[in-house]
Amino acid sequence: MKLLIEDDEIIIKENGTNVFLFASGTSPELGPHADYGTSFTKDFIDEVEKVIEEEDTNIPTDQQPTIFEPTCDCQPLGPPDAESFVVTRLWDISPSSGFNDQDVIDEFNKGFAPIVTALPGFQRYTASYTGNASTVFFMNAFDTQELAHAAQEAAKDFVANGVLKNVITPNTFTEDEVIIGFGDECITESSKGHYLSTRVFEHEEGYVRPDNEIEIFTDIADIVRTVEGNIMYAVSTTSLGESPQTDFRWDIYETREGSDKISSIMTPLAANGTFGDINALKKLVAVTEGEIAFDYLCASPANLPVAESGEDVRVNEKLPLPEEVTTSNVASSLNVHIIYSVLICITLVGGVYWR
Amino acid sequence: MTKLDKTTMKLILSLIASCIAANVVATTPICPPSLTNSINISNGTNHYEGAILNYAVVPSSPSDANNGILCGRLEVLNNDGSWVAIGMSRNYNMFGSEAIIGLPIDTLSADGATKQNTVMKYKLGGYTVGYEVGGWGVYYMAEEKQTLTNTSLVLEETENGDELMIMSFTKVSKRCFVCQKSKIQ
Repeated sequence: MKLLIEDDEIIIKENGTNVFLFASGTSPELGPHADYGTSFTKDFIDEVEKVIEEEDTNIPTDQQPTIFEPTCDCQPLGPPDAESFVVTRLWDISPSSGFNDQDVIDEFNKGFAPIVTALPGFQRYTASYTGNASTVFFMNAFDTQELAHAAQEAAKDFVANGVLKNVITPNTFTEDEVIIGFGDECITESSKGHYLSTRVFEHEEGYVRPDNEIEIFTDIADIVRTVEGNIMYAVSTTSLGESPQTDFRWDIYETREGSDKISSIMTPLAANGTFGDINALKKLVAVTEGEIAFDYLCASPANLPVAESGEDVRVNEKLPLPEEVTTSNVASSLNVHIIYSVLICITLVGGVYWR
Repeated sequence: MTKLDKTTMKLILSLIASCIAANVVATTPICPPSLTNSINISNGTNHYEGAILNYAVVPSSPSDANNGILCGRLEVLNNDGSWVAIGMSRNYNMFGSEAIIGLPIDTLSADGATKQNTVMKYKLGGYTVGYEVGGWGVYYMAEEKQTLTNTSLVLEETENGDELMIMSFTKVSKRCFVCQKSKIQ
């Protein structure tokens, strides 16, 4: 039930628990609050009669609360068309926490997505399954390094100060500048339900990026786009200046079959040195392969789920049901296992990765 | 004009006035003079004696006009003239919440000017003030979101000689599907 609604803001319900915060400062200017900052709850059912169910279910679609509005015409994917800085977070889920990957994704969707998508410079917020039910993957893209870094810190903060504390711990985090991004001419639709493949690579110590790296990645992208269902492909490298350098590379296909197909095409090309040093890498740090659970774009209007108790976000968002996730994860795990095996073999014979 | 005519005329005018009153289709909701509903914040998770939120929910008029309002008055006793805030949260956490904050001294405006006794809407995107870290922290909502009306922040003295910081505001409550059934007006 929704009583007090202002567009894009937290809804105050007419019945059910509403959570309020109260604080009083320690000075006239905004700063730390006094020790007695507190929270309290209020159910407005005493003041407002309960509305019948039909009234709530008949809310016109165009009046439903929207927490996110498009702020760009076409999705920026990185140079040459746009600047883009991407931060990624691969989290481990504590087996004893009682949370599964869907639970973690839901928590971020409810609590973090409304914040991060509303910030200036926002480009993208994506969550995906990884092929391993004990990990979850998230990435943000912003138009400046500072904002992307802030998003990364805020995500850590969200975990450290919320219900996910001690539930998830960092596995692999990156902060990168996108070198080059390729995709459909003008992406305006979320890739939720599509298949995301990500890789974090570590270069050899002292690696010098070749002058023609853009041309090489462009050649790779030309091949990538020959596979039906390719939506995008992008490459980024660390923006933190650490050594050895790490690269984050990712692509999205409409289906897993497309992703598998491009691997079968590219792996032998990489192995025979077609792409030179850019694929001569020291170590595969992390890899994920899985369906995208949510995907908020600056170019794509999206109604974030309203945070109401008892509401099953998965039904509204049409995310896979737990059984589907499990089946998918088993299959994906096998797929990742095969990929790992192939990559390990390639590494042993020369440390070459295809993309 | 005869006396009977005057009486008849009064009756007619009275009927016309009644009809007009009964057919008013759109009025702007206003806060009642007295906000009779209240929440004693002392019952919150941290015991604090001396904070009360008085409020009234004024539904849209007519019911589909999307012009309802929430009238609020936060009273905080003896806070030494410091800022006060009431927030809405999804999960009890400050992070990710939204708040109405009354600042006796407001130094956060983009033009650098210091203002007094402002009452504005804020995003609570962190635990620091303002935009230090790329827009994170506690910061103003965008200008188009600053929809509060009838705002005031005053420090009064009670009959007992205590200081009482009072923050008043009227917040948009865009929809109300139960207006015609509401017990409150």
